[in-house]
Amino acid sequence: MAARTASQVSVARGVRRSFGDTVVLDGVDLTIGAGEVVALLGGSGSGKSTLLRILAGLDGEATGSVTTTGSTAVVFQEHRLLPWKRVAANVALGVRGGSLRERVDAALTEVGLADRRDAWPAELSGGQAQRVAFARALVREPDLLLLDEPFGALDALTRLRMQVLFGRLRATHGFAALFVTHDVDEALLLADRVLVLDGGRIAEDRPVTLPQPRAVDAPGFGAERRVLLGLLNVPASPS
Amino acid sequence: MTALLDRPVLVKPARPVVSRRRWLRAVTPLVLLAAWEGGVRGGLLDPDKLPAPSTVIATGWRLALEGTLGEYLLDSVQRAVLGLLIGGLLGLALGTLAGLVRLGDDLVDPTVQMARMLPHLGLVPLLIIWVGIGESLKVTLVALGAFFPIYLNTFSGIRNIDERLVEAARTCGLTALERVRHVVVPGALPSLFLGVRLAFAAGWLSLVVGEQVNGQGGLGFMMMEAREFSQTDVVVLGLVAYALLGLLSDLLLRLGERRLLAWRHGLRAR
Repeated sequence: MAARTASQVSVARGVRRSFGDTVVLDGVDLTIGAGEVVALLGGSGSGKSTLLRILAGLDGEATGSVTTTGSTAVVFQEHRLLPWKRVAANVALGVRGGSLRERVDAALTEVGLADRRDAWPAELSGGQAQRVAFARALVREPDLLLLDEPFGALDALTRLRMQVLFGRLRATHGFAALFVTHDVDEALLLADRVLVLDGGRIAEDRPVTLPQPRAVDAPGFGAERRVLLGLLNVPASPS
Repeated sequence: MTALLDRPVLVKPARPVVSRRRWLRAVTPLVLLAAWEGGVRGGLLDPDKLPAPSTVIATGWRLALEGTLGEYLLDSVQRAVLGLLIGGLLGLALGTLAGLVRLGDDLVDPTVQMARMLPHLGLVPLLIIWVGIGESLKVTLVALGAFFPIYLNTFSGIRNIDERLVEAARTCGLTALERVRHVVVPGALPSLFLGVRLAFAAGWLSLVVGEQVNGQGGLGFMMMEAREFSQTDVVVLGLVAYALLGLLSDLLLRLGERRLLAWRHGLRAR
């Protein structure tokens, strides 16, 4: 089924990237629809992050075509806040237009950190800093949010809270998102569609049809999880 | 090993230790000063070789009232400021060029790194031939002394900026110029401050050497003239004045640092 062009926020065709003799991406085709959350799964070194950086326009040496319509924002695995700017100034970085202060405060309120607007990044916990990074992305009102293992550096409990927060933000703003992860559970909890990157290509393009709200102990979750782990060449159970 | 086992575990609160240590710091200089004064008064030290601290203070007071001390001090400070400005701005400009632009790096850095190996105070004879023994000699020496630390630290400050932060700024839609303003400049600032501190030290040293080469006015001139007349107290006074100027410049720098690098102090406070 061909999706209508107007509803696509990002289209990549034949994306190739090699580092020296190593071909990491060997002709990747990818489409992200408006408001669609896509998880990009793949083993370590499969080129997930490389692909995300290409979509973000951060890789000048890739070949192929990438078309992005509307605005994009990126959240990295590390918060990447400027240590010499207070939280509010970090969120406002590069944002144009009027009523900046109100928009920054609104974004910080959404991630639950309105009272930390004048703190230095060094004074925040890892989870708080990552929430500020989310606020920095949100304030740009992106049509497409690119997330590179956004919860990867957080502890297990914080990660669960952040996944809930992500779900809420997505419901409010309706942005499309591509998030790179190696966590199958996370992909199944948050995504509408899962892509598996293997051998430099999209090896699997699989819609997630589990009903909302999703939970790891809901029926059908385990079966879907086993399928994805199989695609990632992970044995379903240790034997 | 018993030596390791015997070591007590440190669980004492840190604050009282710090304040007591700060007080302890003043003890050694004060004792030395008292010993110096006592040594001269007790006849152990020849006042012609080393006058007592009280004599030096009295001489300083007398020269200050006469106005000569202030005049010489101003001469020296003027030379230092002018030299630091010229050398510092040049170092800043070339360091920024080499740090930010690949072509600038290729054209500037190897040459500067080679020139750095030349001890600039050894250039005095050559500089005398080039610019004479007047004001330009002193200012040139200070500028040379200040140039290298500022250049080197500007360059390394820019180069050591976390590439990931620059990348994040790019995804936030910052133009190249905005990235320089919001990421490169503040990121290089701690290193630049270190450069300025080293430049101050090198600048004062160059000034001391430069002012001893003939010329008129300045603390060095005051000291050389006093030596002719065996006024040891004035010679020592000149040394004290140099030291105080160095101390004062360092203090000003620390103040600036505290204001501009507040985000780092926030880091340390926790």
